[in-house]
Amino acid sequence: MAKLSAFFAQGWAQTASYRLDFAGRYLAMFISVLFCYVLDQLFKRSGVQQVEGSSYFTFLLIGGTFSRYLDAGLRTFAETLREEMLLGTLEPLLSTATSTRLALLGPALFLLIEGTLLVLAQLILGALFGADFSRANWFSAAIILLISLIGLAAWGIVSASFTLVFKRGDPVIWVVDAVAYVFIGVWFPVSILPPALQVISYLLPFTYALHGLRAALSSGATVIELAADLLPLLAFTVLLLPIAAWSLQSAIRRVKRSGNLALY
Amino acid sequence: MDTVIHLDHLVKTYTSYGRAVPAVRDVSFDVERGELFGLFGSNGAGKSTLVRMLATLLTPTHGRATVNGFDIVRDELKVRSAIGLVASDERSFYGRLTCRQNLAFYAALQNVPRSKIAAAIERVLDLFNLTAKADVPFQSLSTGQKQRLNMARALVHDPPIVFLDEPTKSMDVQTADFVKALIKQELVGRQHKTIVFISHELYEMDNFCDRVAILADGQLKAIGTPQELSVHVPRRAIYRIEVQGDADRIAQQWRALSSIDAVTEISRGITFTAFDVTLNAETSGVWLQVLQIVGECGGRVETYRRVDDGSLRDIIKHFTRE
Repeated sequence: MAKLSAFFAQGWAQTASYRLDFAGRYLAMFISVLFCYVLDQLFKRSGVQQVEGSSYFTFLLIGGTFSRYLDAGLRTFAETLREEMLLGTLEPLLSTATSTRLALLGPALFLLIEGTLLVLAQLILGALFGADFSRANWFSAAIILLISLIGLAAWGIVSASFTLVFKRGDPVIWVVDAVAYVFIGVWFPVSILPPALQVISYLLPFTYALHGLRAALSSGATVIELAADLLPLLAFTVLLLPIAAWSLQSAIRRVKRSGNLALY
Repeated sequence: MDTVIHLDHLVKTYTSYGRAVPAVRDVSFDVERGELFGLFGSNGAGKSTLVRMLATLLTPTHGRATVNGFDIVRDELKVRSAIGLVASDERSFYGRLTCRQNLAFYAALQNVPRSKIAAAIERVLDLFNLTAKADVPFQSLSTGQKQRLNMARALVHDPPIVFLDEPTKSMDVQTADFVKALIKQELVGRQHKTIVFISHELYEMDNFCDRVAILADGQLKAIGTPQELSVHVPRRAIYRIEVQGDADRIAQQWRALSSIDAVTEISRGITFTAFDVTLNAETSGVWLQVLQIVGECGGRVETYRRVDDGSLRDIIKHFTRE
């Protein structure tokens, strides 16, 4: 616990020291909500009032918020790891009495927690702009977000493992960048995709996470009612966790053998 | 004696483009508790690889080693708890955080209890004359101050063993002397820590380390006290001899002797002329010849003294020459 709090304090101090960047993240969140609002107004003029049982603004807001969460969860481990390499702090970190895994992943702790808080802040801001959460089941939403975070962290750890070994070039991020935003239903419902492409959507765990989150926040779906989304999401997560653990362990073993641990 | 570092046929081979590149070849030695142990070698000799293995940052290809009684592969965390590592890269801090913030972070990762972190930080900042810089961002420090903070970090958890990989690199002479005195008097002399001091600079080790291991091309070439090592070196000796009489003639005749490598005139006064005479073997027979020539030339030896000190430089040169 003391080490987690040290990682958190270090992350906070480091992040807050770049004031413009720190403020910029919150400004970007505001602009993102505004973008959803403007897009909603445009679609309303075209006669689109509701998408999957909620206003298009609420639909977009949840999609946009989740994509931010997805981005933070997937990239943070690899990006902070790379930053440690560039700063030259990775080797000192790994020579402390801290497990190698924690030393590699700990620096991402603050940004992951901040990412979660940004999600909540974005939803609250959206509510001020008129998003309808009057029927939201916050407990179900929290469960979905928690399982998503674990799954995303697992993906992120696989991504960090690539960074550890190859320094740059991460196929995990390429795949997610290339397919996720189109296929998981961030900006439009998956159901409007051609059936052949929907197959890709349902092979991605994030599709279930986002669908479940929307159902919880817009329609107040209970955990039982979310079973169709929760079970595949849980299955993907359970499958990903050992893969993540194995990939990180293999990456550590490899760089300790090759001697390029601190290289970049 | 109590062995705190034990290397048993340690080997590290890297692979580069499918080719095996040996970095450390079958190195075995022990370091005793409380020793100031020097690890010398030129660039690429394998020193840093060796230390990184002992610090658990690299896995050996073969062989084993223990640090403070713990195996470097099986007991990584216990090894890391017992060591402080000063890597030669002095920039390895979070630049925008203050010295205090940086040290607090590393102290927590080194299991220093939260209630003792502040005192531990004050102690090491004071030790390295950095108290005034405690709340200054790391990136504002001078290079020498950064390197001192690097050492402070290695000591913040008060480890019994410290690896110093070129700790005085980038320091001015005065700071380097201050740090070396601190190592010898405070860390080894008073706190009885075991120090492994790594350098590729010969002058760093002379009159400083208790024992020295000499690495060349990944192999341990020699180990011992400077005195022990000097026994193995075929010695030359340089004497400063002041003579009265025909200095040119004396020098010419000395140069003709096969036992004399060089004769260099150092100064010429009204009465005396001083020469540095390099003997390639120090025996009574050679000395007799040297003195005999002075007498034959009608001169007289006024003073003589040995001017080379049988220094580590000669010893290391001997063991590392190809």
